[in-house]
Amino acid sequence: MESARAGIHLDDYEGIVGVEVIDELRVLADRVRGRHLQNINSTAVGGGVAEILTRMVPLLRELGVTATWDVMKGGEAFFDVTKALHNALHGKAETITERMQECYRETTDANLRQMDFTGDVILVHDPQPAGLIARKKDVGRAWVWRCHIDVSTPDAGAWKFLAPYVEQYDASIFCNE
Amino acid sequence: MNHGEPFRFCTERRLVQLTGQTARTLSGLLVVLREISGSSVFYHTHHQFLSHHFEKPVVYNDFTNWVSEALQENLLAEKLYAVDLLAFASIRQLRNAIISVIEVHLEQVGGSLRECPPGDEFHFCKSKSFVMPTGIVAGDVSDFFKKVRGITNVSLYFHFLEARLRLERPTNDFSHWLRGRGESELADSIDHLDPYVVTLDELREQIVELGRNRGIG
Repeated sequence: MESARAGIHLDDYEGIVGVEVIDELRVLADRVRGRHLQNINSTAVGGGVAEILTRMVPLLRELGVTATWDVMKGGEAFFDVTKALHNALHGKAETITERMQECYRETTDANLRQMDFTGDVILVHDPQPAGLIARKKDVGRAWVWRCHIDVSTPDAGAWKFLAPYVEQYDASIFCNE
Repeated sequence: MNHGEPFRFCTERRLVQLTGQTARTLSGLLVVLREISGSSVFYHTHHQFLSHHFEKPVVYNDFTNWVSEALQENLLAEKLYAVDLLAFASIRQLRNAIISVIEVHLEQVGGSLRECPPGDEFHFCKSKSFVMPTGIVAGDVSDFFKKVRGITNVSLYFHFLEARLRLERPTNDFSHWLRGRGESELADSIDHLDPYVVTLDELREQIVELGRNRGIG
């Protein structure tokens, strides 16, 4: 997935964060220059993650980090399931039925057959692609799950479904503020 | 830091991790506080200085906030709020001071049976710092005051707040280096700045102003 926003540059942010922050980012990036950060999410447009990656990927590339962005494929049924899962993780009472779980697994398997996992670090965003961790045992690499939603009070059933996937990751990142 | 050497500005990035330890009561908080790593104590008493450097939160201390909001122990919260972070030269001393305040309070009120509401438990975190050079180097005192204007708030936080407690040195990195350069008066002036009552931007301006007043930088 190539970013359509070719016009975003680090210097555009100087007036907002200060030149010292941009300079420090270059210092930090130097330590990971040439490393491949592979981002995976569920949609190229719409939603906060797509908004983040649209900007983050070209900025990382400008810093010398090989950043790529892959979008998993899924049908309407899959996204209905993940929407329910999303709401349940936020604490809404939702039942993730066995049929819904099977839909999640089938979509995950279809993507596992098609996707390449080549990043030094594979950063999987939110619950929709979390099941892709199944490939870790074959390709190795460092897998990180980035959770952008509030899972502080999840529906127990929803977390019970998702946790076995999350627990396989090398690390998980949550927002706590 | 060899006093003949230039000042090398460093920066850091922190990895915040959940420890898995939680507390629901004051007694529970004490049990964990006595044993938890120093990096956890430091994180919960200092992270907001870096997180909210554009504004000054009313209370920076996570323990104070939790005691007040989750346990409704407002008297204890005031006592914890009064703990002067500048008075300690080590995380160990800071930990002992917080523990002492809570223990004394519990003795005075005959213990506390209050339990926080479900979901409001105190989750102990810790932070692991990755320190690295910024490439900004000050060759002399004048150069220092020029260069300090251009460092990030993270670098300022590291040299002024974090290094002091982590290295158990009763002064900040800037003052330590300036004293080595024979600038004891400037070093003392910077040492007397209180980083806990201003934002990091304001702290930087205060440091620059001290140099400016001496005609330096």
